[in-house]
Amino acid sequence: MTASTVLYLVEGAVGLIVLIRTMRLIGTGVRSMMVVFFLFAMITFLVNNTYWIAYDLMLPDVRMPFSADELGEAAFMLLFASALGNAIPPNGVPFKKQAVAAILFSAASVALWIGWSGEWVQDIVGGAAYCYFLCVILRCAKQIGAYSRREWIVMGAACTATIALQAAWFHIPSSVRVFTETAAYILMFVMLVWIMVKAIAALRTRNDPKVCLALSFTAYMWVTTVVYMTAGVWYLFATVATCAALLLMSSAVRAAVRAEVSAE
Amino acid sequence: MIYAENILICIAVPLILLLLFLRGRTRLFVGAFLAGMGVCLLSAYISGFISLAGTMGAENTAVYISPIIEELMKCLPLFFIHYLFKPGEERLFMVGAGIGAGFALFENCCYMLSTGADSLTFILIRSMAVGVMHIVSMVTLAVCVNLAVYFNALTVQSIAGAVSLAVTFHGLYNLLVSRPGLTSWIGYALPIVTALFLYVVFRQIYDRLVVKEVSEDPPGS
Repeated sequence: MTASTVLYLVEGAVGLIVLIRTMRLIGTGVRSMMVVFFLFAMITFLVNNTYWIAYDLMLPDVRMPFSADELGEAAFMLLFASALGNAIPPNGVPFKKQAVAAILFSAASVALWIGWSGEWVQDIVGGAAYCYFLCVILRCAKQIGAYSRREWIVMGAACTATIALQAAWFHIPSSVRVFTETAAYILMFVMLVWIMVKAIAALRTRNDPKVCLALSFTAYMWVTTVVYMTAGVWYLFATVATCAALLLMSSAVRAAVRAEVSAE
Repeated sequence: MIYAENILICIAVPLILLLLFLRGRTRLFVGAFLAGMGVCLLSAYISGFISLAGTMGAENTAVYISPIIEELMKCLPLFFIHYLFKPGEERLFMVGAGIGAGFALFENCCYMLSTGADSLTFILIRSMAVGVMHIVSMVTLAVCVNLAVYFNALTVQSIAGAVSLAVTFHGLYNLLVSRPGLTSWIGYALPIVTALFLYVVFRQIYDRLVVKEVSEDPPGS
């Protein structure tokens, strides 16, 4: 059993805890659409995780071809997006810059994935869901003012630098690749820590539940991005961070439901 | 080589004639059963085409691509009936079960004709595994659609989620049984264990939540 398989098992266990916590919310009579979509997303996530573990145990050294896993991954991203979108419905606040940035970042990411793997179909299918999820997150974050203007600029610059450093891999000699790659990984992990800390701080200070939701979903989104763009030991760290992001999302959903119930 | 179209005609003609004499739910179930058989043949055509035209090879196509095609094809008649006729929870459930049963029956018939039916053990494993798996995946899909309708959450996203659940379950089964040994036995046991789990879930949650409360106003209405 490899380290990644063990981490997928841990991820599955965390997913199960989150699922049970969400089911309890439904059991208490809460029937908000956000919770329903989140529960559905977690079920899909867990089934997908099981598939991935089975594949990893059976064929540890073989790259997975286009399979049910790709559809599952796209589906739970769409469902997470629906959960957040239902909690923070659009109210007409313009988010053109964020939408353009989301589409450009997604397109660049998909191009990188295809460049690395050569797998067109799965990267485009997954990329479409990823783009939608990113658009919804940025729309919600902008709408409720989860980030200041300066923070938006920093995030935009970090995303651009990440793409540039990762894209450099294709154009520079192999002896130099390790430097650009490490720089990209460090940048992504610094961003990840910052986004996570911001989400945890919002939850701990009992900030507006909608802000907590947007921040925690952003954390999950960025973790997913890091998972897709890293390899080796960095990938393992990113997988651990996925567990933390799942717990953050679960806590944010519970906080939002609590606020909803007390408002009624 | 077997002539799948001829087998389909042989099984379907009596059922089509039977439809003339049936009414109500029984007719719906037999219709869904026929649709399941037709969908099975179409799925085999598409999988066969992809196997020949693609680069994955026959075995990999069967393990990784067939679940996607088969589940997508099976969900089409279900959503067609749901959106066109709005049959309600119980009838939609019946349609799902009918499609799954028809699909499983036709696939098993073709499989037995191509590989032989002399081993009772093999036949039992086949019927308890693949046969149940198709029904479980369709029942899961119907339940997901019913729950989504109940919560007023039947959107593109929830449909994608429901279909992906069915696809991943089917894909997991195919993956597990693709290699001999312990994994294949886990794979063979997976559908029947899931069927039992679903049965318990129905009795405990689904019946209480959706079927008994259907007369109440759903949330958000």
